[in-house]
Amino acid sequence: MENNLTFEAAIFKLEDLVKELESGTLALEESVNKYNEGIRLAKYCHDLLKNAETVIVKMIKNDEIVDFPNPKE
Amino acid sequence: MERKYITVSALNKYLKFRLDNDQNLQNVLLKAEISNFKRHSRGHIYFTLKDEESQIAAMMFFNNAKSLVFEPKEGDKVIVEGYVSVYENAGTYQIYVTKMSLAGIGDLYQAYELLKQQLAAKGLFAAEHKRKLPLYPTAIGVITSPTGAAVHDVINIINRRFPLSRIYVYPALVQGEGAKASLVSMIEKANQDQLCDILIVGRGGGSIEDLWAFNEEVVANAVYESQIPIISAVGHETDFTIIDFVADLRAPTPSGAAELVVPDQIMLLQNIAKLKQKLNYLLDNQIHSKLQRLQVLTETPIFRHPDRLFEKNTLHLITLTSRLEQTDPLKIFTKNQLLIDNLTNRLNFNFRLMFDRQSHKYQTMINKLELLNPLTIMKKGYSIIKKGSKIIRSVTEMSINDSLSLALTDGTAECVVNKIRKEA
Repeated sequence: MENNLTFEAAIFKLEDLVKELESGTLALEESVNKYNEGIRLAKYCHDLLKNAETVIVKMIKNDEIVDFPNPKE
Repeated sequence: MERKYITVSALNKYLKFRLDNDQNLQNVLLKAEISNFKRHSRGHIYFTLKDEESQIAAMMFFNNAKSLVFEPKEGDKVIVEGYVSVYENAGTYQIYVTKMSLAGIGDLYQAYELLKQQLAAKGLFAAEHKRKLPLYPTAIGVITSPTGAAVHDVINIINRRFPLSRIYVYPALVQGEGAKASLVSMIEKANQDQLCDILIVGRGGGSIEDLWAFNEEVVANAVYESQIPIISAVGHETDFTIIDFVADLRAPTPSGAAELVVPDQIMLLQNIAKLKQKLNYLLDNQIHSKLQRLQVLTETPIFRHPDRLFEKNTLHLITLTSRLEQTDPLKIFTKNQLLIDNLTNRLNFNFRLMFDRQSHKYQTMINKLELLNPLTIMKKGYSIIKKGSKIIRSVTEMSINDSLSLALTDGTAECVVNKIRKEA
């Protein structure tokens, strides 16, 4: 599975898969493949959110990227 | 009585003490005109405030001066707030200005309305120029004061809603004289850096003067020119600044912008669960409908009585076999052989017939020719008379004493004509 997929790309792909399955034009074998991929993507998106740590905050200071105080927990 | 002399310093100190303790002088509201405006290298400003008859020295410390929303100049009519005190070193009194604005807030409002009309006419607010905002931003640029409460509100809310986004703070002055240039340069910088897929430009609430930088034409233009979509997020809920009209989306406050810029992860998790359910349902549904179809098919007559499939074909096969037999090549060959024999016989017969006829005709011709042969005639006693080479057929063709030759079958004879008798 594409581990570098952004959340956006993954959820768009997931939505596309659901649409394809909804269209009802797929052969059963294709449907099963799309279903498996969809379930993987759903888990991937879910895990991305669940495993997300505190948001990364940086500041642009005189052309350099420096750390910025993170949000209070 | 001994006179008591005091020092200049003591006098000035006393004056300062008196003035500083006069409530009337500690909170002065003044309407005046500016002259002799000077800016000190440290950012303090010095000027004179005057009316038709009088004037007073004035100064504004950098701390206060940086909040000015206009560039003070000679002749500006202003309203100021401040206190009067003594500058002991010089022995002068002056007004220390804490706040200053152009006379009449009406002027600011007019400037705002005028600029709004101008920019609207130029198409800066046009709906078709609004860019689409990313649904799930990977990086959000926040152009605001790095020290205000606003930036922390924004960070906390994004962290709570969608921590997968990164945040880049572009520190900007958000009020005072340098604010517009600072905002413009940060918007441009963010566009150069290309780190972010969306920008929030704003600050917390404040007075109309505090927010003025967001009403400046250069800032509006920078927002318009930005390739990265921008959410404006300036202060109070009710007031619109010029950049609110230019931005791709207007949020009432910085916190509001943070709510708008990213989706809520709780909703997202629900949505993902829903999509998963949908996947399950759709696949189940498809398998179920395929099974149903399979069942319908297995119950059709063909599957229940497969032998019937052959009935029709068997009949057809019989028809075809009989037709095939009729076209047996051996039979066709025999039939053709008979035809050839027949034709050959007829040809032979006709040839013989014709040959016999021609042979007979030939014999007849030979016989006829035999009869006509002059030698045969001469054998019967006839001879040929010639005069020279000419054959004589009549007595008129000869004269007395003509030499004639007689040709017979076995030789010739020369003779002379003695007498000619012509018979009628």
